[in-house]
Amino acid sequence: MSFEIVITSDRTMISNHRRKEFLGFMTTGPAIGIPEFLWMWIAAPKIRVDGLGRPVEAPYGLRKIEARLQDLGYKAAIIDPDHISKYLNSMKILMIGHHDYFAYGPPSSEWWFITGKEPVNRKSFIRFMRSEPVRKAKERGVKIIVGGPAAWQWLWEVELMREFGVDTVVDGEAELVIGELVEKALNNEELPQYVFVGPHEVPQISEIPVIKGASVNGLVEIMRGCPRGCKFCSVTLRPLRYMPLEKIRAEVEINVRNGVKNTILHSEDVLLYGADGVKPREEPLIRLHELVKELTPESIAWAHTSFAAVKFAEDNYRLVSKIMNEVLHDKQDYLGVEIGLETGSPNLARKIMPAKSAPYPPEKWPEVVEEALKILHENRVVPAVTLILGMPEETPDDLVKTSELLDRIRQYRSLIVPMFFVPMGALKDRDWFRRNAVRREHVDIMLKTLYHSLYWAEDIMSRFYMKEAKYLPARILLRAFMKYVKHKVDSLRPKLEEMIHN
Amino acid sequence: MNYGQPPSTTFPSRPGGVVSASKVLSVVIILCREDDFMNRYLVYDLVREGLRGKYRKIELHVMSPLPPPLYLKQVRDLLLSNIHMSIVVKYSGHGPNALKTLLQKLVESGNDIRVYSTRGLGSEYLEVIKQYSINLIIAGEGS
Repeated sequence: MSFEIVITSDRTMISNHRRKEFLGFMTTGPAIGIPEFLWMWIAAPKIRVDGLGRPVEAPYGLRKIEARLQDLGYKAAIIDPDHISKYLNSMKILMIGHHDYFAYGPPSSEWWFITGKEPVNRKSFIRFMRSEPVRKAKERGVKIIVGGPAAWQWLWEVELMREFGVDTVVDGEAELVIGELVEKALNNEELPQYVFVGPHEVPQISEIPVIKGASVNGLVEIMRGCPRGCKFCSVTLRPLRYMPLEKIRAEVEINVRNGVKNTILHSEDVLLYGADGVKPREEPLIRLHELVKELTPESIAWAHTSFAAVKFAEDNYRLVSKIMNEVLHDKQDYLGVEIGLETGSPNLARKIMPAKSAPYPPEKWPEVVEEALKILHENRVVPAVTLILGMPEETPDDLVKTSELLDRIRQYRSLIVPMFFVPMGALKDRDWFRRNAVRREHVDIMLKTLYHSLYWAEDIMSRFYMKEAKYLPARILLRAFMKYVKHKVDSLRPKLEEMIHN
Repeated sequence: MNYGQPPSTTFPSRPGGVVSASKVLSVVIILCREDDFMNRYLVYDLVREGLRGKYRKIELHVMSPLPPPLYLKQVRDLLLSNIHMSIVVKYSGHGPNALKTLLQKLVESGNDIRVYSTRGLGSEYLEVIKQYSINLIIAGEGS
């Protein structure tokens, strides 16, 4: 069997991260304290492939493109980066996707900024693009089309775009434009250099294909778009679409059939599935979780939710408690999720994310965060919480408010990761957060979040995450790494405190 | 249990009400020097059109002495400022002859055409633009 369209990426993407998506985040940093090969072995091990070099699990975005192209009748498949040389004779188009090609997105840019070392995702991707199979493919006239959520980064790397021979960059939801590009490439017609898919060219539900192979860690999209309109986010620009349960069922079944026993429900805010605006509703959420529980042999996770939705759902329907203690209670003892806190300042919240706290007013944002974290803690939902530092219009007072909130939420189980502002969404024409803009208040917040996360990471690892014996080697390495980081920061602390107080 | 009925699906009116737009706007950007940059002003101008619901997509034909894909850095600011409109970027060479070929093709396509440049466009270019009775817009000086 041969493929005319090969879809792939580098190893940091084509991995299941040991079925622990948080380990995947290690690829956004440089190797610290251990050799890079060991870092990659922990975070992005090679994945099992079939006889044709197709990975048994692949990133969900690549699966959507693969499905769309197969539905259109093309011989297209996702191929593991170690196996693309098998298709040098048949390949006409090489498609590449990534969520952070050059480590300009959060949190990669932050690790790079702090350590001064290139993150492994960037190094791995550049190494892949300079590898012999990719070079040979280009020499044979293969067209290279790149896309995914990090497509915009190519605009900052035009020299590499030339070196690698990238023909087209596609930025945005590609379902409705990819067929036309492929036709042009196959007919040797001129390809556009850059395609930005605006909100009115995105597919409707019926135009979004069902994946044909398993997604990494069983990720399944339950909705697209977000109604909150935060200025720093690009997803919010897209229209809101809820996937019907039948579509969700079909994708979970594909994952399970291919040996993936967990499901990650993907949405910018899982609790808004079937919601009345920004107010979660009980019935669609219970039906969703009952369905997914019935189909998923092991555990379920949420990609993202919001503090406001957690509070509203619990206050009005006891919904978080019901999902955890009545629907999923016999399935798993915890549930993981990512949540954006972004700032502890109501003033800044009003300016950059006025609907993030909705249906509560922005003035109540810190209270909403605190109450939601309490609800999550009591119901064994473990959040990875993000903060954004260096936001346009941020003042020292905003940072103090964030710092005070961090003190109040110390008691709640969570990992808190501060991220530096990266211009995206409605703020994408603003300036990046730069090293010389770091204030003592930023350093204070970074230290607080680091000690918070190191404390709770130990608890989370021993009680919930990676507690099985098979994870012992990775657990030992992670513990050693955390000790190393703590030791390093402790030794730097006097210097940092001097900086904070001067 | 019957899971056949999905929860209500909202597909709200799209930003700017451009849902009914069907036309393509062809935009030519002429950059005479390697250090010319087309700034975000042009996006404001184009997005204003988009918000009026007139166009579905913008085709951006960039003329620059910088070869592809390096010319993209000259329009990066413009591309990063846009969030509303679909934009397709193509390289169209440089020099008055390339401009003539491009304008001829665009006129035949029947799309609406706009030509933008930075200050200091040479008389040879101006002559070609005049032949096609198209108004030249100097970016930053208003349209």
